[in-house]
Amino acid sequence: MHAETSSQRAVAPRSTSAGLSSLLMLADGRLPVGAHANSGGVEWACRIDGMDDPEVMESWMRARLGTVGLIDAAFAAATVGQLGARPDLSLLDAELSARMVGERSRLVSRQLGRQFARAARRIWPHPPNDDSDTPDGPYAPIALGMTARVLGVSPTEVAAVVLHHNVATGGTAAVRLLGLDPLEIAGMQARLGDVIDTIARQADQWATDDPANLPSRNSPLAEVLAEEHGTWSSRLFLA
Amino acid sequence: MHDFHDTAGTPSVTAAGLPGVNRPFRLGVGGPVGSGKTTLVGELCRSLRDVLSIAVITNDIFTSEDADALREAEVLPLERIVAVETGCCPHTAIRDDIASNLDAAEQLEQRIGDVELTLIESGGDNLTAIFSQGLVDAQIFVLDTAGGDDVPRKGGPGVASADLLIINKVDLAPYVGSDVAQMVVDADERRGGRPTMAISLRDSDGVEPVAKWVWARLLKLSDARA
Repeated sequence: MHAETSSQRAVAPRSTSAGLSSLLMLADGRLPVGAHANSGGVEWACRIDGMDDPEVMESWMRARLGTVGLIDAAFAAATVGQLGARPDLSLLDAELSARMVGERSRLVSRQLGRQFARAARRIWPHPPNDDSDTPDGPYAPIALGMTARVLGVSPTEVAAVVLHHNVATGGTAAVRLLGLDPLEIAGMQARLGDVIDTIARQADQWATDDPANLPSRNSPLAEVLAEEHGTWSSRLFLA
Repeated sequence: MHDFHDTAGTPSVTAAGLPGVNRPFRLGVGGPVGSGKTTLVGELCRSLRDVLSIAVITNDIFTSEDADALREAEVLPLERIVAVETGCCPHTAIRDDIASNLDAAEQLEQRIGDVELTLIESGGDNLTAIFSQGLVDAQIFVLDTAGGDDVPRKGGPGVASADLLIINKVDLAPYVGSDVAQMVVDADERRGGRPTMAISLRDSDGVEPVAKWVWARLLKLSDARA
């Protein structure tokens, strides 16, 4: 018992952020980084029969968290774990590219990453937030990870932020597109909290893993749908 | 066709020529649905494209409706017009969270290289929508004479604070019972000396005073930056 308590104490400080207020800003959907125009796949999914049923929406979200969300969370955590003042991000970039088969997914993630990096440079001026490794812009989770790293946000926390945004982005889009009850969606978000916490607890391991070993279980369907969504002539959301 | 060069000289407004400010003049065009924003942007392009390098960003509620209209009207080469998604909230994209517009502007201006004027058209929205000063250097708010002659009296941020207010479609006034003179008086009361123009963009030279205003703003900015 005694040994367990002291080991918990030893672990606790690592999972608590040095900058709680910075963490809250990163988690806030009002941070002006363009997330409001992303539906995280929900705009296409609204074409699926039954998506206006909150239960169907919840199971869709659960699947999303375990695929796209998992990968993005792992890469944000891995970015936080990079060593040195100005780490080379090209390996993480290549590994994440390999996990996104569709060109549209890569394009969208880079746009969101560029937007995040541009905002972060103004909000928290810090040198390592440099796009030189990825001229088209860093992928969204890598951009977030770079800033989180500078702000002293832990791998677990940044992973939780990514997953939180995953659900919040899709949920907000569902409210706007389908007129779902916002309280129902917030309830869904609360219920998915366990899934988010469980995934985020693996983040310390991702922070030190070889990038080749990071999760790769993406959703081929999500990739195909993103590709198709990109061809629509009339879209309300970026993706 | 125009006398911009003769009356005003050629302003040196290219990005490269602006010490300390590494980007073109960005002008926002906002206003309610159907007031004539896309028409104004198209007419400004026609009027100024021979003397300025222009790019256009549209923020329609559906991604590319306005951009497509401008492309079909061939007001500019296709590659100079891009549309951004606004996630059902056009006012958010120009005011609260300008990230996607900033990204589109920077990418487009960088790709074309010599842009001097970037027109950013908002999606049709309510009277509280204004452009963030982080996105544009100046903004025009466009109203429809037939959209109710009480709109300037109601005011709101767009009517009150836009650098130029346009009351468009004045030719429709007799058919809908709108009092244009009163609209201008009401607007003047709310605008603290900022200009209002009552015009019809369907007239062949309807856009002329607006184009001259844009030109003057460009010169002013160019002088300020020189």
